Amino acid sequence: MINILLLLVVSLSASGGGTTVGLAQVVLPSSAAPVRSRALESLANEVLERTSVEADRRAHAVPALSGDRFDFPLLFLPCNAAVSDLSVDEETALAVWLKMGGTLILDWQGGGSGLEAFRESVETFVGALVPGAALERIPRASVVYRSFYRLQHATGRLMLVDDLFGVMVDDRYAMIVSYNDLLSAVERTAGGDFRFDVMPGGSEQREQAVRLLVNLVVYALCQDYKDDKVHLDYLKSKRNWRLPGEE
Amino acid sequence: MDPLSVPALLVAAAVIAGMVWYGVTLIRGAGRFRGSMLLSLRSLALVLLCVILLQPSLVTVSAIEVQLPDEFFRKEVRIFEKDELDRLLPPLSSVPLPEEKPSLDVALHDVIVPPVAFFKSTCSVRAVVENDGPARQTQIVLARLDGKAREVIRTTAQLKPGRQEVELSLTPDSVGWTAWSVQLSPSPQDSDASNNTFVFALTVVRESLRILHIAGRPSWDVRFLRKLLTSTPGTELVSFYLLVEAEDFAPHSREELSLIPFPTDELFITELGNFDLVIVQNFPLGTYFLLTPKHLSRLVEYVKEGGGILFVGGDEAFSLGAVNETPVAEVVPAEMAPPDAEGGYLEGQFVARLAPDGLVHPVTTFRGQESEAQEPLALGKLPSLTGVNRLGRVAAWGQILVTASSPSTTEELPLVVAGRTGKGRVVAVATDSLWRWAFPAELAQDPPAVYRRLLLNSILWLARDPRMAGMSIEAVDALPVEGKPVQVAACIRGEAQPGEFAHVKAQWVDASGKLPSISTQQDVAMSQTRCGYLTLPPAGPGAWLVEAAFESDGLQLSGSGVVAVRPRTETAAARLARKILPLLDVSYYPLTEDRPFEVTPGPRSLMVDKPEVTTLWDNPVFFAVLLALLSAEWLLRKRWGYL
Repeated sequence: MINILLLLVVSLSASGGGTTVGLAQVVLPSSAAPVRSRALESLANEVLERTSVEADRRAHAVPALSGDRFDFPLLFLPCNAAVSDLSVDEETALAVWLKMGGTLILDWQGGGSGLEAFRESVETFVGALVPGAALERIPRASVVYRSFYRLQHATGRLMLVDDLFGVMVDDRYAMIVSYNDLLSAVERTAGGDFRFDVMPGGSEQREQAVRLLVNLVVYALCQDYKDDKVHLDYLKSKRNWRLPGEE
Repeated sequence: MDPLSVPALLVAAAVIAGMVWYGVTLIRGAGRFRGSMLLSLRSLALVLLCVILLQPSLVTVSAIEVQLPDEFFRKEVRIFEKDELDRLLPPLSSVPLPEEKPSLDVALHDVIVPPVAFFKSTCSVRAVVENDGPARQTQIVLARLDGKAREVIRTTAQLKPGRQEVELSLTPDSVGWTAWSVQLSPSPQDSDASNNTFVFALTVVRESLRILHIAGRPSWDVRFLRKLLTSTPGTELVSFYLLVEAEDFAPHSREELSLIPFPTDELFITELGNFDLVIVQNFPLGTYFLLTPKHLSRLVEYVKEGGGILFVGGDEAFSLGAVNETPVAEVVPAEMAPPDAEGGYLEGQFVARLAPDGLVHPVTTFRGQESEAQEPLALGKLPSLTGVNRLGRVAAWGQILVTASSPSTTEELPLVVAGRTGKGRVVAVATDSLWRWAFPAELAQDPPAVYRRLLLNSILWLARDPRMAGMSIEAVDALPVEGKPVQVAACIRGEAQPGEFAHVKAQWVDASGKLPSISTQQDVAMSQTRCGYLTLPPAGPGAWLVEAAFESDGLQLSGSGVVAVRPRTETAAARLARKILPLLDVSYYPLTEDRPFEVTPGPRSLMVDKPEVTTLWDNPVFFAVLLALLSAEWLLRKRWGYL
């Protein structure tokens, strides 16, 4: 509850001009997950430095029931426990936001002990928000793994599950689930050092996690742009790319 | 004959005069009593004779329904039985029946075409042919009616007995409203050549709009526009977004990225002419190092030659101002203001509203569900925009369609500007937050519709889609037929004052190409519904090619359309009725004419309205009474010595 009050005090303003991309965390009253403002700001810096995306350096927190969620087509939902059931109003609010074009990224931060309970709760969460849809493994050939960087698998601060999972809405992954504590891999302290160690792969694994986060942001902005024929043809012919599953 | 008709009255007057003269003579010669007796007897005999002679004028009319046998629609058969004939026809006449012989008619019953055909793409034209005769071959000709009949397809079809479809593959070679005719070639075996032609109109649009979409950086505006383009049927999209900038930190090798080089030469020199439309979204035109003057000049040439460009704003777009120093400045509809103390790119909360020109422009209007004219987009209650490019002076050929203002300033900033330059068209949308209209807070709100309509209207108008013309032309009667006047409605998008006039020209083209065309032109007054109505004279099977223009207060609108005039079609029952009526048109009584028979054809029956006649000629009572009267008069005259 203290977290929520703090969040409401911290920042509910929309991001700047129309081009600026604000990164925000959706806040559920029933969630005990801490606010990851610093992680989101670290991610914004990485996106700014590595890509042409005009990311807002300020992090934002958005209560699920707030109309401000429509300022942010991309929202993160860090979780350190099973996702609790949503109220009817919260379900409706998030379902409308997803249907209109929002993208929600669930980031599991609880390690291996509560993972199974989290996974089961996510199934329920998905069923409530997108009736009839199922959580599915995102294929390695999906554009999510090559929207900016070419990646082979999912990673994070931990390496618990090397796949991402997602829910398709209107031919796009409207919900993406990571089990490897992605945001912690990019979070820096005020002094500029990384806040958490990355295990077991160290800095190489951290770099891959940051790249995956960058890919997720670019995917939310460009969708299947890198699936366009002109791009794939070039990459396959000039760089000898082969997508997973291709000879 | 009607008893009150002039001949009947003349005959009656003559008879009465004769009777008066006869009565006066009798009374003078035989005295009052005897003269009156003789006059009464002769008058009674005369009245009785008149009743017998004039009886058809006294009969009632009754309706008889005759069901047509199934075989009738394949061949003509005997439909009246003998006892039915006795009941139906006047007794003094004998009516020949249609002979029992099979019909050999081949008729073009209908032509089925898609609601919209695509430019240079094959579409199916299905001619519905009804063959009443045996299996045979026939030639089918498809012709384009554009000032004259131009044969496009001629093919031989094998017809089976009965109804069937013959498919023709048509590839339209021009965009717009087009008129076509399908004809069955005349054959000596065909018993009726009047039903061998069918005329239809076809709307031809570009099937797949090839769109080049370049963006300076990924953003929500880019994402929602891409979503719109990829989800719109008939668009073929080639996209290039700048995902990195020169100063970006790059802890990666080229091989680790999925980026590819921006193929400027290929896109802007080699392939540009193959695109129907270019979208330049928040792109640093004028400063991007890979786009040299050579590429920008080609872009200008592309517009002058008929291409379309949609400029979409943003923090890197027009505000850079450098574009004003490039050749591209020639084809932008408003000056892209350079950054100054106030900034060329403004952040804040901006509310959009339609400018006067926006009320009537195809980009910012749409066809209402209950209105035949165009309605302006409803921009009220939309989410506010958060970033706007400050545009400078609007070009002489540009029109401001939408403006934006914020609470902090009363200034109305041009937001959407459109115009035609050379043969091409350009639209500039000076914001990068139009996505907020595509991502509304509630499902029940309608901003996504406004977002879709504004951008799709822009795209279709830039690509010169015929449906985006300033005026629409439609026939009031859905299926005009030959020989009847055709009423045409010419409607404009947006506002028109009642009493203002549109100039309408129409040219009729004969379906067979044998008759010379007819032209007419007229100024028609616009009504409250923003439509003017023109009545075209009766014509044969063919097409009216209609052009309309409207000008008022500097507003110039035009449009064109096609109204197909179809041959008059006649059902089999109507054909039978037409054949029977002359046979019934006979006179049976010396001093009168029969009341006309009426034969009303139904889908599978005939309704015959026939005078019911009760004959008096062969009635012995009437004959005996008449004989008695005349005998009594003769006996009295003999006894009284007046013979």
